[in-house]
Amino acid sequence: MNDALIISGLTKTYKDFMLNGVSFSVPCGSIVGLIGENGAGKSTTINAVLGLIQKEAGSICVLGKEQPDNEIKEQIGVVFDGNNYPEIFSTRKLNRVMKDIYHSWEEHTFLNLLKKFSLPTDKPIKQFSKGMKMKLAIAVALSHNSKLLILDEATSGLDPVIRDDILDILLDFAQDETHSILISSHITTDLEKIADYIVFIHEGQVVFSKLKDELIEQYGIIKCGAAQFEALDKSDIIVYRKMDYEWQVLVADRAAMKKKYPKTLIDSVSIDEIMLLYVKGERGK
Amino acid sequence: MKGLLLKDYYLIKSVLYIILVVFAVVGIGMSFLTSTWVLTVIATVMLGMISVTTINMDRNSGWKKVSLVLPVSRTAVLDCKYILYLLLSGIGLLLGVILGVVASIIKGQIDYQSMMLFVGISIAMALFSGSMTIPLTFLLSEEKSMLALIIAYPLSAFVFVGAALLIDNKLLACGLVTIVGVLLYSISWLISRKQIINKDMT
Repeated sequence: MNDALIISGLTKTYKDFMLNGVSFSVPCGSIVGLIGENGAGKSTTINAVLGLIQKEAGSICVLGKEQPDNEIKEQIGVVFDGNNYPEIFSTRKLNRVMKDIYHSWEEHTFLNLLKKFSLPTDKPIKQFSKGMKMKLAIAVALSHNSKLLILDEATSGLDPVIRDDILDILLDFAQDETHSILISSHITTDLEKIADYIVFIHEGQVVFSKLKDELIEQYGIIKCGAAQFEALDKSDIIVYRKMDYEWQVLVADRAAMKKKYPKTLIDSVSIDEIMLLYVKGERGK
Repeated sequence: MKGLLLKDYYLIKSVLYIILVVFAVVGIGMSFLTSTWVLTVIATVMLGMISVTTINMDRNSGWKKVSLVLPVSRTAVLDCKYILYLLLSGIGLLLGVILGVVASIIKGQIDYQSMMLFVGISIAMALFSGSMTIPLTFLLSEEKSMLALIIAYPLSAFVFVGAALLIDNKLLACGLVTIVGVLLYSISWLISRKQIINKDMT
């Protein structure tokens, strides 16, 4: 098995939104970041992968199976944004409940993770901060021999220190080549730190699914005036955006463009800028 | 399923003292105003209702979504609520009968016919309302499920009163309504199991 998750042609229609033929994969041992603006289809995709919603077309293969049974579900760790567990529970009670739900539950691992994350065992979860709740959800996800972690907006609303802690935990998990992570976020800087691949969803469609390093190292942004923009070979333009005083143009091969247009300013580009250009700009011809 | 029931046990334990206080106040008051056996109806319905309450607690805490990605089937998550409802209603009925007997002994009169009648009413009310509230609370949004909760109990009472008006023999009417209640609860359980498999739950 080369891929922990393969999504092919996933389609789901709602009254005012359509997930349209979404396809990408999560290779074993990798971290895939799912990016896109709010309402782009990230959570819908994750919900379909987890079987929370029924797909209309396409296929989803999780850890080698199209219809994940309980054995497969044991190997999937899931972290949702917001609350995950009853707030009156202490982590001790949660441990007892999970022990009776997961056959592969590792109490020792869970208690060690609680200690590592400085989470109390006797306090009710309602007294936890948002960051502590998120760490608890991750501790649960890591305590039943998960092979695939799926996190939906797990870092949103958290301060940079907690986010960094969580990213470290995820990086640590992904050190094992049999472990994989699919993480959705609109905080692209987080994904720049940890992701191997970036999948960008916009208006229910995958715009691109690429190696992060390829995006960061090869893509570039040309910042130029109207005359320079007109002189550009239109086939070099992926997307462009007219700003107040300049044109911003996304190109796929920064080095080649520097050779082709030596007098033009070509900068490296962040994932945030790529996303903004795709969402707010116009496609090249 | 053991883990799911354990989770509900912990949840119920946290709200049980409130239920017991309400039960004591309402039950004692009602038993003085009407028959002592009314305690069986109150206890059965109130304890059964806790099962439905746990569905809303699951929804608000985020557990409902989490439970659907756990290594248990969707039907097991639903079954847990139906089983819990029967268990709690049964405990409520038993508690109600014991309290009714004690109250009758204190009052110096045990009317077995009334006892049978109220036991029948209790079972029928519990099963009728449960067959509506569990699926609607589980499968519908919070707003719609609130409406179901409001409607279920008066509707159950209405069915019972209707049967009592149509059939002179109250015990017979009670027995028939109880049988219908058992059927309705079973049908509700079966239909909900089929519905939940393909329903979008987010």
